[in-house]
Amino acid sequence: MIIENKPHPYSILILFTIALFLGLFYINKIKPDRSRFKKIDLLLVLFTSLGAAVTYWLNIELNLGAVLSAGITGLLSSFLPYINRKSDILRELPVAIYCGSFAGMTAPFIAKGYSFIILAGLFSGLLLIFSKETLQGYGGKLGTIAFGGVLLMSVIAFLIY
Amino acid sequence: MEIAIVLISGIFGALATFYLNNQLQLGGVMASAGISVVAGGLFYIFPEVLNNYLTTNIPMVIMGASFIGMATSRIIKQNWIIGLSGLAFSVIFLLTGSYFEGFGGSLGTTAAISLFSVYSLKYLLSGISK
Repeated sequence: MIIENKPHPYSILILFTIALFLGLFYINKIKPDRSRFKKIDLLLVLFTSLGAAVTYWLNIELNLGAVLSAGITGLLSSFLPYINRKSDILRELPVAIYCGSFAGMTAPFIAKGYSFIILAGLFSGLLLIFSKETLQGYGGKLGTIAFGGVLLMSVIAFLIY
Repeated sequence: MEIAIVLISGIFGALATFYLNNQLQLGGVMASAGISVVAGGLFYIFPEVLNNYLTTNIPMVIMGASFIGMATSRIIKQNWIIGLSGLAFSVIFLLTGSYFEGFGGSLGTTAAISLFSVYSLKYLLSGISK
């Protein structure tokens, strides 16, 4: 990277300012979540995991790179609602699959296999349905959820091995 | 020069996705994934056009910034918040790029941090204008 790891007081100042603003946002915006769960949400969890596995497969087996793999998975999933415009579940599937595809962007030196990715996708899916009503309509939510799923799986893998 | 290209890519990724998402009504997933496929595809097909650093990182910056543009205009009404968040994303990416390298979702988390911190500027500005 160009700037990081260089001893520069400005870097610390910029990141500290961003952290302060982030704190201000949380104080003003975060409210307790009142999500209601439906049985159909389990399908979202499964499709999150599927999105992760497909992205990882495209990235590793076809060597497309993480960005292109996640993009293709997300783009294909975004056409699912057009199969039946009245279906609620088809409308929600692209979000779950795209969230999973972020987990599937994990590099092989961290994931070390499909079981890691599938489980990270499942954890991401669970976090997705638990946080349905939190920060709806804000950008970056899906990636943060996927990051949570991958970190959770990394901690579990670290504790087991 | 490389830094300037990364900064501009962040702003472009966020604003282009926001436009496709809200003005053309494509939806967040299609807008962000479409931008990512174009950015990733171009550098996959033409890997020699720019240097190695930019070829590796520009698609990541554009995709990461595109997550910011997935915000709905119902919540984020001002375009400058999206553009500035894209710039903040690039700055955070440049400063912290390899700390979570390889972890899926790290770009999205950076996008969320950028958007939330810039969004909180609104509170400060409304406080000043009162």
